Amino acid sequence: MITNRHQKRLILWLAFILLVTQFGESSAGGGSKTVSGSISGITYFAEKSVYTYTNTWTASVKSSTVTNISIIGYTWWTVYQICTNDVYSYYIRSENKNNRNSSYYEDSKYVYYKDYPCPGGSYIKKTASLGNHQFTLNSTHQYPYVEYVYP
Amino acid sequence: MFRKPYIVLIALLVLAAGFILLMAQKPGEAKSEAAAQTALPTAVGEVIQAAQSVTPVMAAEVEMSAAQVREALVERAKQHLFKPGWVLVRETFTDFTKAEDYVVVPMNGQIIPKNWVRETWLLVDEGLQVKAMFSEKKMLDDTIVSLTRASDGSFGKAFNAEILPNVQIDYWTKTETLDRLIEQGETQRVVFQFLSLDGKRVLYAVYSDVFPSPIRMEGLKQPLISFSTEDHYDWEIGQFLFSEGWATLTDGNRQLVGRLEMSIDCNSTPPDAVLEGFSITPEE
Repeated sequence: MITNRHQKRLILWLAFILLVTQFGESSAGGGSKTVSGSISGITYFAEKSVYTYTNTWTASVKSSTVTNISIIGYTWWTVYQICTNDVYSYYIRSENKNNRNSSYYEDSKYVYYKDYPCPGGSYIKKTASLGNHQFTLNSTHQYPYVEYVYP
Repeated sequence: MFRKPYIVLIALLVLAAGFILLMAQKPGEAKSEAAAQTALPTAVGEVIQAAQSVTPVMAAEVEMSAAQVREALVERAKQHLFKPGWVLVRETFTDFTKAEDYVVVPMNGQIIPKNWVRETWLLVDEGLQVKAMFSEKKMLDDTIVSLTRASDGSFGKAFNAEILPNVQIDYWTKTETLDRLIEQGETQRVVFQFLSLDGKRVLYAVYSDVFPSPIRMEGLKQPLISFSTEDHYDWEIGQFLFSEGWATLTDGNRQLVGRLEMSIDCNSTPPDAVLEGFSITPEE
């Protein structure tokens, strides 16, 4: 009976993996970088990411804590794409976005390759997500800088 | 004792296989023709013949890999796209998200527009090699946002010659989405179909990116969960015609995000200002 139960589980997992690999989300390059610290004894996590797909690439910023704090978000966040001839083909900067009395803030962007091509003869060199997060508890502030550049 | 799990396993595999086949098949698919797609260019020729007998709007789905489609497009472009002399390539991108028109990069003052027109003059020799290039990207109000000039010295002064290998005919087939797909090992399923548009036999390619979590974007009513690009090529001559980018939002609705159109003109001559620019270097 034990063997039976294990076999059933194994079969279900195999079927699940088969379905997910066939019909799941698109494969992506890129990754993320997370920095952790603490503010008045409360642990925080500051994360930036870049993921590339076939038609687009995405960037995100995430700030989180284990319990609610006064202000959580970022003071500035820049996303860019730079070409092999050092021309920026995509650039955006946002400032002072946050949630109050919360433990989470997230923002994201997607970039459609065809809208932001490199000049003729050059190609995408780097895509990046960078900036200072904000964690405020009463009158104590932390602004950790996190940068993720791909590749 | 072990029979029941095996029956479950077989049933699951049969179900999964059936589901895969169902997903792979689209209305109008010509299965017997698809099975003939084994080699190029013969198989491609057969598909073209088959496409003519189907409805004028939607023809047979093409069972070709991205690499085969890319190879066929580049081959056709090399035969038909350019003629010796000056060639004007005009690209227009229209952004439908109604966000800001442009951004300025604070570090260098560079302007990045959302809507733009790029006109590129290419000097093509008898061997169909690009020997010189002048490219100008403008905003819709004619503000020039970038300018690139290159020559190997065959016309005017040699300048930026190192970029010319990157702007040969295959670059102008605009197969970069196919290139990325091939780089990724063709793990993503792509739908290739033939359409009849304005009397042209058009290859229609759809690529979809599915995001692991919804992405927010200014100008879109809701976060998007996936993004599809629909590319259209003139199959006879391998010319990229236009592409549309569609966002699928969290409520299931689709929204047109952008459209890139391209035209090629082999019967015009560059304005004097463009020609004169080749006789001077930027420092002069």
